[in-house]
Amino acid sequence: MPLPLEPSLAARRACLGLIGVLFCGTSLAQGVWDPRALTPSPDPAAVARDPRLLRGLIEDGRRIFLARFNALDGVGRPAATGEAKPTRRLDLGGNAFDRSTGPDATSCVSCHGQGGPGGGGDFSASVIVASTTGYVAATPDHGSRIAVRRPPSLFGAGLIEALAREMTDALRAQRDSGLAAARASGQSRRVALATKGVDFGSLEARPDGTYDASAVSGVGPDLVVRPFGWRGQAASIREFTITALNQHHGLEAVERFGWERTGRRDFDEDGTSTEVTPGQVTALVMFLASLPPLEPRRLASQGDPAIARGESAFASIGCTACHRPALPLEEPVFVEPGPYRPPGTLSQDDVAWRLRLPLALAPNTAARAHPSPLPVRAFTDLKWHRICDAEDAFLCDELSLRDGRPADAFLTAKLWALGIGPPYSHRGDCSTLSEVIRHHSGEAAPARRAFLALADEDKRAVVAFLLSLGFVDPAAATASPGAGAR
Amino acid sequence: MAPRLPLLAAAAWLGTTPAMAQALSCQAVFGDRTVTVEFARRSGEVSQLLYGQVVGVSNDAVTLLEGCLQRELESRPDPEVCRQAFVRLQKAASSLADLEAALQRLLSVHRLDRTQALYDDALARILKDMPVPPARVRRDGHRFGPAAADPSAGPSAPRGLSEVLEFQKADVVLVQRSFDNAVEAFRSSLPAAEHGGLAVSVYSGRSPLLSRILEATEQLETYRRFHFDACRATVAAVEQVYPSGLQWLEEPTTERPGPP
Repeated sequence: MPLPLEPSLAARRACLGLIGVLFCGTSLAQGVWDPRALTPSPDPAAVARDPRLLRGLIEDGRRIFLARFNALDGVGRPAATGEAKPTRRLDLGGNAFDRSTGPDATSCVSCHGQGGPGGGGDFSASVIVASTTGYVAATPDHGSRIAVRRPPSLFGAGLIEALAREMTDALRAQRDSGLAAARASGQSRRVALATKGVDFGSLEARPDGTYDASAVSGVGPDLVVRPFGWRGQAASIREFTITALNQHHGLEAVERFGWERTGRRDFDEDGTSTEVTPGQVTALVMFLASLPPLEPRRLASQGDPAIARGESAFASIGCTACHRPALPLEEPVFVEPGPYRPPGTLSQDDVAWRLRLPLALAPNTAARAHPSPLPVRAFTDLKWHRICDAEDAFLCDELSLRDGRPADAFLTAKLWALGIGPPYSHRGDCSTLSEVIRHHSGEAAPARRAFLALADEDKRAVVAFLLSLGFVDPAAATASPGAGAR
Repeated sequence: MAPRLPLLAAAAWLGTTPAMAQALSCQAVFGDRTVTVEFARRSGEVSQLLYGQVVGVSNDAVTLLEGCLQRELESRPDPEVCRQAFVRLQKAASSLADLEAALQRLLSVHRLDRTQALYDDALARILKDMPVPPARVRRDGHRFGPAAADPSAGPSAPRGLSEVLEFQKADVVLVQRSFDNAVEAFRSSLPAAEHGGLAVSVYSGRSPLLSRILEATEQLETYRRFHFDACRATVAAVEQVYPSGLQWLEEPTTERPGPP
């Protein structure tokens, strides 16, 4: 029961909202002499008409990735949460920056900078997601829980999304083929789901066009492989980028937070109505898709016996059951917009233009003849697995059930950037690989036990092999951001 | 359970009756009487498909979907109602392909002969003088954005019968794509519905189902409106030029027609 003098929540919201508006309005009216940072205004349709402009679009994306955003660009979201979908804050107002709930950065590269723009981040850059320190809307899957997530390396993101699309295409084709057979025969059919050598369980296709997905594993019932986010929550670079722009900067992309989706012209009520245009998001996406993966420091085939022994042990103890050394990519071309997009993410149905970016395993190899299919050596199966349990709950910090996915299920981590160095784990709170390996449990428990049963020399070889993946020359990376990775 | 039963149950429970708009077919008069008759017949097929198999069944699907969600809100989920909603949506989507084929047949009849010049002039004048040209569906349907394209943007308004029919055929493809998206979203959401979790999935925004359904039904309504407005203009044109092209029609007699 509120005290008589205590303002109602509605009144408090109104006051805070008013303060927010006055603050922004006053500061802008009084004059801001800083320059805007988000200045490129790319036109993807023009690039689609003239592919020679693609390089310029990618450069625009790089400039946006490196830019230090400010209030004039729309930094801050006094009326909106950092949720992936447009969600109103319960408590309006607040500071422009908030370390616990975001916005918490002025630039993408603030957190994605290890080894150059697009790299991962240290533990200090780990973000707090799904938290409710006073203003995140109470949704059933939030409660008051928090989860800490380390910024992952984005090198090779274009290859990963292209792989995921092909896997989704294949799984859905298997489903549709089963549905057609069930319809033709008038009887339900069990359909095995597997693509690129990865088993995703099975489903029962029914004659009426529906299916039972209770035996599907490692992917959601919609069969969309989501390769981004530690828990595999985003299907595309674009989907994740829009979410991150809102979460970390309070920059709201028009395609998700604009009038057509939310009914509001300034959803976050920060005084800026058009914050990130579809063209600017596209430039960021194309820049990230163009980042090549890091090359291994030394290949086992190049004769390093310790690495060769480690690679062999890594396979023999069962790690490669999930950390697949390579997945074959049939068509190494990144097409934007992509086909599997949730509402609020520009899709192929929204625009007539298409951008096509040839993908390469390493810089300057696009023009060379690629093996076909292209082996993408990310050491992942792009599948969810339970990696913790009562025996070892160290990695089980996820308490919320999102998208119907078990809280202990995470996407198999990509290992191809481990050579950048620590920290490790999805929280970034391990300084050695050994710690992370020791905490693998759930489905990974047998592999962990096998690892622990190895002789110390072999354990060191496994770690040496893992650290050989994705090498960045620290000196080069320090001298010129991005140089080490490139 | 009888196929119609869930619909009736849901409709009765929601206190609503699926709305059915009034059908209207495009009309034209040709030099050749047989073409005029055949055109009217094929045009009638188009309208029957549009209103009966697409609009009607799509309305059924939405009513059932709302019933499915309402049952979950009341903590008494009924996956069968959800499944029936999906089956109807799927039916409406496949009927759009039939509609496209029917429009192609109508276009083929139209190409058999020239329409009467008087009729062409009348129709062109009517279409030109419309205060607001019939709006057409646009590619990028969004939740709060109008599904109809801005009539002032580009030469999208039809200027004659040929464009009326061609635009109807071209636009049905866009509606089809929206329905295919809605069917896919629904199909992928049904596993959640089987465990009583559809409402959580859609209202949290995690499932694109409601967005896709809204987009598809709004596009269909825009398409239906375009079909109606354009066909109304063709009927008005026939009335204005009558009896030209229809001289063979017999005036009604006072005698009741006898058995053949």
